[in-house]
Amino acid sequence: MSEYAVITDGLTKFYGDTPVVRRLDLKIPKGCVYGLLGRNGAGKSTTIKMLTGMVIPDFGHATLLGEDAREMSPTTRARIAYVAEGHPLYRMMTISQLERFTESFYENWNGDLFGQIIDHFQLSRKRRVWRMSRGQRAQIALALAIAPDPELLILDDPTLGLDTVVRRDMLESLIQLIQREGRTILFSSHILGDVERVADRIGIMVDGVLRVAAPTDHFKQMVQRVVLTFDDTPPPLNETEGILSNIVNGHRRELTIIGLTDERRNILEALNPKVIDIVDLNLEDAFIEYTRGERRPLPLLNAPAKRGQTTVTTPT
Amino acid sequence: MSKSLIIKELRETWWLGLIAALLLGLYLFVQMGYQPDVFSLSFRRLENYQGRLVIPQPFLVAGFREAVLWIAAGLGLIVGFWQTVSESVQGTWLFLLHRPLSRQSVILSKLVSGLMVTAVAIAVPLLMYLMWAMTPGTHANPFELWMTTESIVAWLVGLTTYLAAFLCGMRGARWYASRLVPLVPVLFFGLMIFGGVPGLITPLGFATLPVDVILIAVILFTARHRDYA
Repeated sequence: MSEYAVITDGLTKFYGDTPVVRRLDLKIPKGCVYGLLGRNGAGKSTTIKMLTGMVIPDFGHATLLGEDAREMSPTTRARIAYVAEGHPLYRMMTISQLERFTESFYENWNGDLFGQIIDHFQLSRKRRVWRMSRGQRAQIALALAIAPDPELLILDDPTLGLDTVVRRDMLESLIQLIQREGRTILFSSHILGDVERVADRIGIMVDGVLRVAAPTDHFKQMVQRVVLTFDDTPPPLNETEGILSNIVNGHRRELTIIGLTDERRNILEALNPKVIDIVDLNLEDAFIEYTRGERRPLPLLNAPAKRGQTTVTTPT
Repeated sequence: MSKSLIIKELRETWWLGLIAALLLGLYLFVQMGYQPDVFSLSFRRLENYQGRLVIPQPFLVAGFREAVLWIAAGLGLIVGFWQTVSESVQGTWLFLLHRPLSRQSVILSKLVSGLMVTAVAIAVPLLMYLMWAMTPGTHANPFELWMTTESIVAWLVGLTTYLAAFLCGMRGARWYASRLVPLVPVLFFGLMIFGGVPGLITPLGFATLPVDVILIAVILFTARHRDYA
């Protein structure tokens, strides 16, 4: 038995001539909560759809719970729950009808658990899906996903469009319900605070490529902001590997660096700053700095900077 | 196949079948010598100037097979698209296809229920009309079972239309015109029926069966190899 719940090998998908996911090698250990991050269009949803067999990869393959995603047997599929983006459900059905319909496909259906979740969210079983709010639909989708007692839960942006309270309530319920039994969760999200709260490991996709696959804390430690304060205008900084952004703000030069090694620290100290401040970033800031890419200042801000003004330069 | 999925599909499409059955029933009622009176919301018997009942030749009156074809093909078209496009619009392919059931079973369950609705909704009024036509004393026309052939062919083309529409809804095509390519054989059958070439109607009925088999095979292939993005 593999120690990984999900393994992908060179997973690639093109839409037309555009590569959406490129050579994705992903390994998600069993029992892990894995957050898949990326900006819009980074390829997260396509990756998840390839994992669940909804989209056919052009190259490479994916294995879930030891079975090829494209040829997944009904038995293995029963061990995997999938909540697609937008929580699609049959709009004309009531919660009871949805429960009966979904239950009929599973041997391990836990009706008590489903009932508990419905009661927890104070939902009426007679209510039709089309009359529910987006948050309520998300709650139903989650309850339907969890009730069959899945070993692997895949959620595509489960909190998209939900208000803060529902979002937090939903995430906490999810984690309580699943993690206590050591299940594996893979979820994509735009809400970095949610990811930071629950994910053991993260993967960051940029333009279809998995750029980061690391424990969450490790990634946060790797990305740091260094503020160099000078007596006068900061001296120019030569191109240095690992610098994600480089901003001159009056007498200060603010750098975001990935992996502040001794070598890089020596380069910065050679500029003779008066003070060097190293600031740890939260996941959201670290993610933004990592994925922002080439900055595109507004035309107004693109004017030549005067003394005391901020200039934004292209990261090296 | 999944019983609960078949029930779900029947629950979503039965009313389309009911509407078609009522429309066809209304048409057949007129063929039985009744005329709807919209002012009194009732039916009255059709009589000629001598006060005798006017009842057209069952199944062979002009326009009969075309009427059956219009209703059967229309129903097939709507049910086929309904079962596929509604899943796409609601995004529920992703929900449905992740159930622990082979993709083939999911699609076959849908096809069975869709064929049931299309077949039964047209067959029941036609059978009732047939029983009436076979009952002595109901009309003053000769009647033999072969006279139903053209209607049966129209009914079969309705089923082929359903399968073609289902395939159209399943296919991911870049252009609407190419998406509708599966309807080409149906169009051919329809034109042949409207043309009413003597001696061709019965072979036409047999020809729908291999086309149905091909359409089902292509539907299953498409369902397996398309992206549900």
